[in-house]
Amino acid sequence: MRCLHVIDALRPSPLTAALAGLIGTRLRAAGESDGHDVLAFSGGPADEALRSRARRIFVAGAGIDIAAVVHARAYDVIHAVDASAAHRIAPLILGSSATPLVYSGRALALSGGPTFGRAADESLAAAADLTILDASADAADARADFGNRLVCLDLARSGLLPSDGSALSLDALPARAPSVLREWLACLARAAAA
Amino acid sequence: MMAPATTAGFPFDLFRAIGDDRYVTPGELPAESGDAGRALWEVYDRHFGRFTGAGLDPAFARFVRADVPFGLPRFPAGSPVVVAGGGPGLDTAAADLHAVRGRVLIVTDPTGAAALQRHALTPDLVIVERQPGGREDAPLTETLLLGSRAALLIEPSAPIAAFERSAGMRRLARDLPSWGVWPATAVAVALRGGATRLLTLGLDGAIDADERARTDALLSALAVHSAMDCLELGQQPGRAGWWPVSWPNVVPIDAPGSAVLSWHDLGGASVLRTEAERDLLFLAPLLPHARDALTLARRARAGEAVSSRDLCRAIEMLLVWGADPSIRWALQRALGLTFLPRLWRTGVSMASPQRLWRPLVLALHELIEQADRFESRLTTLAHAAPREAAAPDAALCDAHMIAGRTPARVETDRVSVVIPVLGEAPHLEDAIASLAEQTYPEVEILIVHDPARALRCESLRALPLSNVRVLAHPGPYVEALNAGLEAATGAFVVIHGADDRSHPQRLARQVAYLKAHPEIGVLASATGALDAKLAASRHEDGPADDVPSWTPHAIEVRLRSGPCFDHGSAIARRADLRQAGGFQLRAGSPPDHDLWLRLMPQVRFAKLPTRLYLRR
Repeated sequence: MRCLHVIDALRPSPLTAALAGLIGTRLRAAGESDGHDVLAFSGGPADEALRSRARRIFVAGAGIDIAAVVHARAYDVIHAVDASAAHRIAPLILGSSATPLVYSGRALALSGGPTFGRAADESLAAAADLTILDASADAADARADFGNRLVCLDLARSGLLPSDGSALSLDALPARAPSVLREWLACLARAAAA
Repeated sequence: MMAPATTAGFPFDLFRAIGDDRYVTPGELPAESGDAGRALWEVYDRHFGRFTGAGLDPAFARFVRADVPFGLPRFPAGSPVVVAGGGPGLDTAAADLHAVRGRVLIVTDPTGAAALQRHALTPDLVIVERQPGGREDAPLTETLLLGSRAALLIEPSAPIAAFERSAGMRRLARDLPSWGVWPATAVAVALRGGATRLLTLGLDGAIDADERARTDALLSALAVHSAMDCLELGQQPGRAGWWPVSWPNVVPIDAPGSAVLSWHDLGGASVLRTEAERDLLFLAPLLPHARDALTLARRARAGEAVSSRDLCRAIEMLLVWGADPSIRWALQRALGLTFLPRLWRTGVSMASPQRLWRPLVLALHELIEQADRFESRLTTLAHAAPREAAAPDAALCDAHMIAGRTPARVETDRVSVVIPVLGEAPHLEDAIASLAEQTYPEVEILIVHDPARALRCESLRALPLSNVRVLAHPGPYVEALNAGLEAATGAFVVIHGADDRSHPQRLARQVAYLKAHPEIGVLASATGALDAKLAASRHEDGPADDVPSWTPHAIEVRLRSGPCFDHGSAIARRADLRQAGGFQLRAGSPPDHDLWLRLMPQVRFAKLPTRLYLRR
């Protein structure tokens, strides 16, 4: 699976650390491994942590043509990791490519900063091929009409997204984190295969 | 096409229009925009991806400040204008700034104002912008004591700021020249206001490299194409058009002895509502087509056989709207859309007709949702105005309520939210704001306060919200609750904490549930905790709040042994509460729990698993 993860900025944050953990996760013990690229709309100090795990890092605003990155590399799935990135990348992906889009919803970063318009966020969830929410964040977002296009993962309870805003230490993952990361990655693989 | 007006040689309208995302391609720029137009477009293209989102107002916050007039600040010629940020450069410059304070004007943003306050400096003008990019909320501003000298220039769609009351003057900015980068906005405001000499300092704060690059590019474009003296203090990387300066030379010898900001009044903010009503009329013929196209796209998404030709036509319709500047601008301005404007810029590929539902669902879902919310907001405003005129005087209303206790007329769809205030309630405005932002249109807010303990509530009578009533009622808590209950005119009643927040969809969801489940008389919800940074922390509602315990039976079993939900999260039918005798003070049980116990024989209880209520 060739996956492009899109994130707003490479700032140290729980979400960035969780993404690093996700990229470092392997679904299969042996054989072909997944290829993870990261596209960020602005850079930051987390660049190094992600660069050591991802295949490539693209930082928009440094002369990178986002459309070229998205279209020329034939990804199997594009994963918008946060609301801000999703709002910026979704029109390009949904409007001019057939690549599946997975949106890890805003509830993931509920404690992490500003959110976007509710109507816009619901539109994203309605149009994405798969939306992933934190199971404990807002059960009302688990809309029945989304069917199997919506998955709730226990990201916060597993310790992957600490509620105090502290970044996760990838060297000492909480006990339940690896299984949730594998589940998260399996969701991306499922969307890629659909 | 708009002709670019110039201020001090600068194409000011062009700057504002590009920042407002009015142009999709450089070909739309006015022919006479020349070098300045090309330079600005390059910044727009390279640093903003041809979309700033700075002019969007998806939450329709612009209708909240109906009492604040528009104003245009005027800067005296010759007096230096200092655009001061809160970065380390301010720390080194503060003493020198103190020395010339009377001869310069200081412009900043709320963060800069806080930094200035730490150096005992008061700004002359604080620019309050909205968070760019279509965001609905913004970080809370720390409490500021701005003093009578400071004036606020507020973008109408900016969120309610806690410090507004402490400023000497508040004015709304009509057509704020904003790209979402406040130093550039400040420079543009100074330029438009006639400033001739400008100095930046303290813009070296903790911003990332891209934000710094955006700021530098915009400031350079402004400086190069204007006739102002643009100076920068400290070790800056060197922006084009900005000249390094040291303190002795900041204030020229011939500068006026004192610098005072003046204002040009531009009328009342009611024009925003008129403008919105006009936009709605203009857009109304488009909406049925949008709804049809969304239905079509949803059928395609569900796997139904849908003609790809019809899908292509729907896409063409969206693109045609984008090609018409008046439709495009009305959609952006009125509805605050983010996806459709981006689709106009990225384009839509017709190569996979079977996937064309994707851009349609994305753009039209947002369009329809926003159009419905917009229409609902305008309907509420339209209903509120005559209702406000016909409403009895507040003092008479209070006396009538206390003396006669005559039940008010019941509005079947209305929710009456009673906020008892018996102390300082430092976050009361935030609580009211959360109720003003409800997607449910029929809400009345009743603030019941004890004047002896919460005198500041009287000032809330001046709030520009027509559905807020302030009732003075000296007495204990239980009496305040009953006073609110008596004054309520809605069929549903909520008792809301004075420092708490409700989810914007709280009332809509709860009312919908109650209407669908007439057997339920009291409906609570899960709650969360709200910390000082307005971040909803993960709230453990207790192991008993697993899904099975939310059944009416489980709640009723638990209620018998003690409170099991937050009463601020509950909504109840007014008739049931009155029939049960309202709130009563009894030993051994809080008034709300006591009421629930008395209600239990008559009605059933339920609890939504969603956190619709956040406590402080």
